[in-house]
Amino acid sequence: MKNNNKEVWIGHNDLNSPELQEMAKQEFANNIPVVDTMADEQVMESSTNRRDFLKYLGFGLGAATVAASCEIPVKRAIPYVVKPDEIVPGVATYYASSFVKGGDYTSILVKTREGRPIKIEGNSLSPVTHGGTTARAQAAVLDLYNVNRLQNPTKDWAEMDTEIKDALASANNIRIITNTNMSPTAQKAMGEFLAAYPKAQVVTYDAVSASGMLEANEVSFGLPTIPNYHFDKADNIISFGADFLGTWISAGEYAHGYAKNRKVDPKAENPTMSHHTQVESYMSLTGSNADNRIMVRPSEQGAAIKAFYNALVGNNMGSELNEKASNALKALADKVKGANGKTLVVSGSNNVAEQVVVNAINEYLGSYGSTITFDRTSNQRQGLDKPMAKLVSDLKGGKVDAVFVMDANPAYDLPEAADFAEAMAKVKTSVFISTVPNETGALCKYVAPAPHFLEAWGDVEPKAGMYSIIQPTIAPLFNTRQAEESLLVWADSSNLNAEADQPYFEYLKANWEANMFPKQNNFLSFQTFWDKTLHDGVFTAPVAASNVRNAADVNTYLAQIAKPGQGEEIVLFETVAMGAGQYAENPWLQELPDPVTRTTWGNYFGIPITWEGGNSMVTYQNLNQEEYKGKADVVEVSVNGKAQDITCIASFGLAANTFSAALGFGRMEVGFAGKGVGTNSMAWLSRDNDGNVQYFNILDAEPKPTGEIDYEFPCVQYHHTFGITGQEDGKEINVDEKTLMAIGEGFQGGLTERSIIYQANLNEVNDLKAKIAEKREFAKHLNDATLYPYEEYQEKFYSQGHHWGMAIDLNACIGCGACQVACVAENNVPVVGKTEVSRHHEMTWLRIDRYFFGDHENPNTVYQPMMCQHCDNAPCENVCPVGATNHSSEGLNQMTYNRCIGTRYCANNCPFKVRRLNWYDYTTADLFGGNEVYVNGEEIPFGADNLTRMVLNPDVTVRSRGVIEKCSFCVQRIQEGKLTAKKEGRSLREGDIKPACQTACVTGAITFGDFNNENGALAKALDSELNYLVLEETNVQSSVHYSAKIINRDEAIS
Amino acid sequence: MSSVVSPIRQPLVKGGKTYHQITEDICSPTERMPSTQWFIAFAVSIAFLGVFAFSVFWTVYWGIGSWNLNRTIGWSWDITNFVWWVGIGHAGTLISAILLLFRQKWRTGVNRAAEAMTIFAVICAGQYPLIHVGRIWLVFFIFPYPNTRGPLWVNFNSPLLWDVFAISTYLTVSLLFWYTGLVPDFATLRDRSKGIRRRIYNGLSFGWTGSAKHWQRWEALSLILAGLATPLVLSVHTIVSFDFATSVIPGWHTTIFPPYFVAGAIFSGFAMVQTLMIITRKVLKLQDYITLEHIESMNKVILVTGTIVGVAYLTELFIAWYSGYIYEQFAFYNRVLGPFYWSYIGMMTCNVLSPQIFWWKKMRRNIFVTFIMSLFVNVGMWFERFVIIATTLARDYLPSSWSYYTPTWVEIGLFVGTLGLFFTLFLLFTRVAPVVAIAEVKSILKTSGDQYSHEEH
Amino acid sequence: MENQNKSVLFGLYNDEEVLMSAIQQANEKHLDIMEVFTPFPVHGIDELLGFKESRLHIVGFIFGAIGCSFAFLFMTWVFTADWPIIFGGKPYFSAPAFIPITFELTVLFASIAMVVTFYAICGLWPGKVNPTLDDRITDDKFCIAFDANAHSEEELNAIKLFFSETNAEEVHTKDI
Repeated sequence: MKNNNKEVWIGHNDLNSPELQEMAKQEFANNIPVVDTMADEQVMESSTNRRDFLKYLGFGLGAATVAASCEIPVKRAIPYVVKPDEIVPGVATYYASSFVKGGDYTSILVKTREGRPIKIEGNSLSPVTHGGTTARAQAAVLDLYNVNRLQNPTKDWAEMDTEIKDALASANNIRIITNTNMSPTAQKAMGEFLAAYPKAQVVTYDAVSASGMLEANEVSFGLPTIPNYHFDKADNIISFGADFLGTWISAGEYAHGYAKNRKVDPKAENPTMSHHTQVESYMSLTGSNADNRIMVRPSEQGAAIKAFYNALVGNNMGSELNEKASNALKALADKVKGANGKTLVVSGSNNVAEQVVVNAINEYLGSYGSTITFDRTSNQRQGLDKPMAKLVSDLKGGKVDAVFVMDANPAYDLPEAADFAEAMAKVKTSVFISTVPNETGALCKYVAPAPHFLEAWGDVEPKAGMYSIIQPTIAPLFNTRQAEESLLVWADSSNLNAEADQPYFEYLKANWEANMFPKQNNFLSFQTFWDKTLHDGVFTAPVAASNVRNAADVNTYLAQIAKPGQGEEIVLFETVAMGAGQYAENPWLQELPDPVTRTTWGNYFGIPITWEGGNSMVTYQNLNQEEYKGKADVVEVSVNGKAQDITCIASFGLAANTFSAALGFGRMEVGFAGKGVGTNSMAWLSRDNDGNVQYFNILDAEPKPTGEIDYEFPCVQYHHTFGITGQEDGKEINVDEKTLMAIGEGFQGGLTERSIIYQANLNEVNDLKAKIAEKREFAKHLNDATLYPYEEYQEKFYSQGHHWGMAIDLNACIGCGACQVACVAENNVPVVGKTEVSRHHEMTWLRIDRYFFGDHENPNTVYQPMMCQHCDNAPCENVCPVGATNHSSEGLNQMTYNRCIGTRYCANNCPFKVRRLNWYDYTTADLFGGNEVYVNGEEIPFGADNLTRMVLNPDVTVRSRGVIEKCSFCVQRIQEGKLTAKKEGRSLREGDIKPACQTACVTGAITFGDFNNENGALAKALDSELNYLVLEETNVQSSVHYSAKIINRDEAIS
Repeated sequence: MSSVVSPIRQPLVKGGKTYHQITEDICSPTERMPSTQWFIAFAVSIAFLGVFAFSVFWTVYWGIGSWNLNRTIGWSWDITNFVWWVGIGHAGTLISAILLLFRQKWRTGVNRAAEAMTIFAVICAGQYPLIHVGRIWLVFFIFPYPNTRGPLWVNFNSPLLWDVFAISTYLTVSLLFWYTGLVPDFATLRDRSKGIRRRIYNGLSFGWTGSAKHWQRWEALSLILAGLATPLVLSVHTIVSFDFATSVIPGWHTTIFPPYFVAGAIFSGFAMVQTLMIITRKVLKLQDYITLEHIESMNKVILVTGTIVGVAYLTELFIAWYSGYIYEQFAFYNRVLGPFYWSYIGMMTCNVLSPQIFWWKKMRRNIFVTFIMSLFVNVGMWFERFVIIATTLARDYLPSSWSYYTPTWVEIGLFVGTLGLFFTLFLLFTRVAPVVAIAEVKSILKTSGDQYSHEEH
Repeated sequence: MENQNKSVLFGLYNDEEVLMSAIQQANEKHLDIMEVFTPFPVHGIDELLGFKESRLHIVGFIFGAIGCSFAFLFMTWVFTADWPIIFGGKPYFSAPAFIPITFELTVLFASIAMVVTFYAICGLWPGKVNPTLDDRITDDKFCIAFDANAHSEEELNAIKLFFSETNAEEVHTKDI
């Protein structure tokens, strides 16, 4: 904050800064013109009028006291002297903008309070993301207040500009390294730069790239682009290792479409839903949501695609693929053959040949024109791997003498990162343009800090003709300059008015007037068009539907597909939170558990877990036998001759001889949150013959246990499952229950009979309805025997006014974690760090429980968002000795933080275990000094510094140490909604109040509302025989209803 | 008191004592210089007390996070120790009150020390409800005092609040009972001493004269206090058991808890009395007053209560199975076979199996065996509370939240620390007050003194 | 024994049985015994001295009743009248939940009241100095005391005679 010349001063220490004291003096020194009209002599003599005098008196006193450095720090914020019109203290203002990071895109609304962006919401006007958000987008607001941001250029801007320009003038081989850049105006700026320096070339690459796909589409259709996928239109979705719900290209968008066709209509006699098959080597988020998973080793991916193609077109197929998988694929082929245009096949493969075959498959199934179109092609992955590889060799050869790195991080995320790093030394001029430092920036001569996207102007074209605006929501906190502006300055662009207040804004506007404005005809004046676009945040221009023909000769490519490798393999994947490491410095994302492994703060070496009868799960080499005690074994893994120690985690759904590890960890040059967290698996990547990066590899040797035990294993849920079944002497038993006990065996029914999760196959929905009805009937019967006067309260309070409740559709929930991050952001939930999470001290109010069920070798998954159930007979309320938690007449379970003394009795007595104690001083808010915990070796404890504190939501109390906290149904939003309605003199309307988790959800799994509103969305959601209450038989009368999980599993396919 | 004594009874006072000898024997320890053993013991206790102080400081400064509790297991060693100490604190009042009502003469030898032990144990127990809270500096919130917040009173529905009342009442009443018994003996000490000691003991003895009228009132008071203390002592552990019985957690929500907790309390209480008595009688040479008779009688009680507790354990298991309520069934299955199975085994062996050797008179009357057993029982009872608290919480309703628990040094420090506190207080007690109720022993001398009871045969 | 400069004639006995018989004879001789002091409660002595049964239990009962009703009514008032709060769906007036505290306060009030009363009526309190006739009274001597001032010379001789008849160990006169 200090380096920042906008005077947001916090305390006396700031005021001691000489310039401020100077200001104070000047205020007195100024001689004010005598007001002639005043006749009074004394006033004439005093040469100031009364009002001024009072003004000085006021400021004088204040400044004197404070500048005199009194011991008490001044923690007051100064009221505005002149209040900006758009700011009403206490009332939030929303601005439409866009979240963009490389190829990731979400159209958003930014919530600002008193000029501070504090929360990101989805923009429902967006035709791409439809108001949904991702965990990454939700967390982006924290990056704005990242203490480790680049704050100043290496040299003063002007000086640096001249030096760079001189360097450019003399350079004869200039490269601009960038990740996918979806901004048309930025492209234009870059164009100008290239025009100014003909010797410059742009190299675009992506850490996790779609290079193979782009090339394949070039081959097949002559279009090096990503087509428009319609997951909502497909009845059969087949994905060869594409994690399209979590990380693949435009996951948020795809998830939205996917969910539409996954929700079942409980009323229908024979409900329908799409069938989703995932062919993969490890359990990805998408795979965990699939109805059928076909497990293949990573190197068998190609063979699998080949086998499926052959099965479709009826070739006799080669025996490269493992028996089980090939049979399954045959069955799958038979299933989808008939349904023309109703199938969608996608592949995450980064190999040209494989993608060409996938295209052929899609063509054979008539997907083009129905489930896949080329009208709104996606710009979200533009990187090509080959040129980047070439660049590395060029650099090695010392051929390049000027490199501009725009937000990319090749020194970390290339397979040849090490070579790149040393080659950079050979480069004369290297310029790093980014918001945050990274491994590559550390190697560059000049650093040109760029503003965070919430401080910047910009535009995005994620899909053809679908534009989206980025507008600043706060004045730049640091001495930064937009990347595009820098390029234009260095290019001496005539179109850039450097004198302007916001030069790039002018440039952007001009570009829109010239290029986007003409594309529409609703608005005659540009200004109105511009205002509308700023307001909506998005603008969609019509595009011509382009018909494409597949020109590729499949057989040549079929032949090119590599044979499966031998030995033990490792599959390397991108996680929902970390991406390829570009999100590593965000503590919220570091602490977001991976949906499938449920681990935080690092990547772990997935080892297969199986069951071979008896009362124990068998893990690879018997590692991690005591995982449930928070202990994990460390193994040494060597790939590409690079050996590293890494902690294991027992994982379901791994193919034979296959291990897994997440990408994006083990970064060193990064904000504190990412520093040294996890293992750097980027070095384990490989390239295929076409130079495309392959996200798997063969292990040099089998992983060998180091004998060390990792006692800081931050896994928030061990592999406890619900219905993992296996065969034992002929009959089907529940494996996990059998293996639960330390001595002897668990008993059957101990878990499966619990009323926590209900799931069934699509063709058994009616049986499930009956089962649920029966169980609920039983629960009601038990609950009838009670002393509690529920009906009395019901009629006295809950039936009057509001009675808040929630419905969660387990079928729609894909477990992406956006809601969890949204909750953290909205409710100032503290971040606790790896050590604390490993001790189960995580503070999340909303968690997503993950349970497996079905075949123990290849289980299905159900995700269950679990938060305070706001029970009307809340067990926690009865036991609090001081009455710190009690019930509102609107059915809310309320927590009074400043009354809580922290006996933890409520947490013990909560059947859902959703109550969280502030074990330590996580928010640096307690009585004692210097007892804060450090999240990850930061200088000032996370949240203690004034920059990070700016992200806090002023409507939500920051809890001190020793206090219990939990989900409040976003009571601050409920109050806000009620107030607004009151001010407008109306009753609440449907959708006035939406908790953070609901607004964040991309699939619409969460519905919040008022039970008393008969025709509201909640009532609609509740009117279903698939609805149930978790643990209803405990008679806690919870207010969160769940709708059972339905899968569309086809036994023939697995 | 001088009701008929069956001649079969063995004498409770040995060595043909006269009243004066009794006074001498019991008072002298407070008058002579403490022995070296005493000094060593005291030094050790003080050291442990230091550990306690440091652990408390650490807990308050860093927060409960310095313990290994977690989002699933909100209580473990803290409440385990609390319940353990409260349990121990039951024997004293029980011996003096109930045995007084039952006219059990043998109580006179041990009741004084037992009551002292009760009070010190309750003091130790009282530490935990205080330090286990997240914000100890606001702990006064649990008292229903008029305030400016409404006034916002407390939640009278909460078993924790019942605890507060039960424990504080129990401590107060025990103190009154104990002190009223001490007054005449302090007078004896006063009349044996000179100068400053005399003045101090006069203060402590409230100017007791031994007037017959006072003695009459004194006996009346003791009797009624005993009458009140008896239901009280039963209520206290009942209420402690409500902490668990009134919850919704399978394995806690059990109607058998009150009787089972009370039996357990008497069980552990007597064991602790044994431990202390066996040491005290040796160190203070009081074998003639705390005789094998006393030890055997208490061993009988231990055998009975131990067996009651054992039956309770089995009943729990049966009911869990019989209820047909899977949460309950799983909870107990997990208790026996789950990750904490070792603590269940510890509990069963120490509490149920080992006391069975007391079926043999030989064993009941063997000092060494008794001493070892008394330690066993205390360990076992600690395990019982740990089993009930930690293992139940570790695996409750939602498998997603299951976890495991191991203590940190702070929690261990707090436990040994309260042991230090306990023994420090007890050792001081043996120095300043007669560890045997002089007046009461004198009052049974004629009926149970050996030189007299022989005549009866 | 409150008022000063009073002279007391007392005899010390070695054994409670001797004491008892002495008291009996004293009663027959209609000697008005001022006080009897014993090292421990001697049974039957109160009948001989014609003490009425102690009424402490009445005090206990009264205060017990007060504690009981106070506790119950207070909790009821708090939860139904002063500030009704919904706790876990329990009724405002959840009588069963009030029982434990009611019981505890009953016992507490009764005990404290009785103990305080006891010391009050016995005239005992911390620091109170009561003159003692002989230090051995709290050890092994049993004492019968007569008020010397209240008796004439020959009566005193009769008492001395009585002491020797009832073989008292020692006979003393002491001004207190």
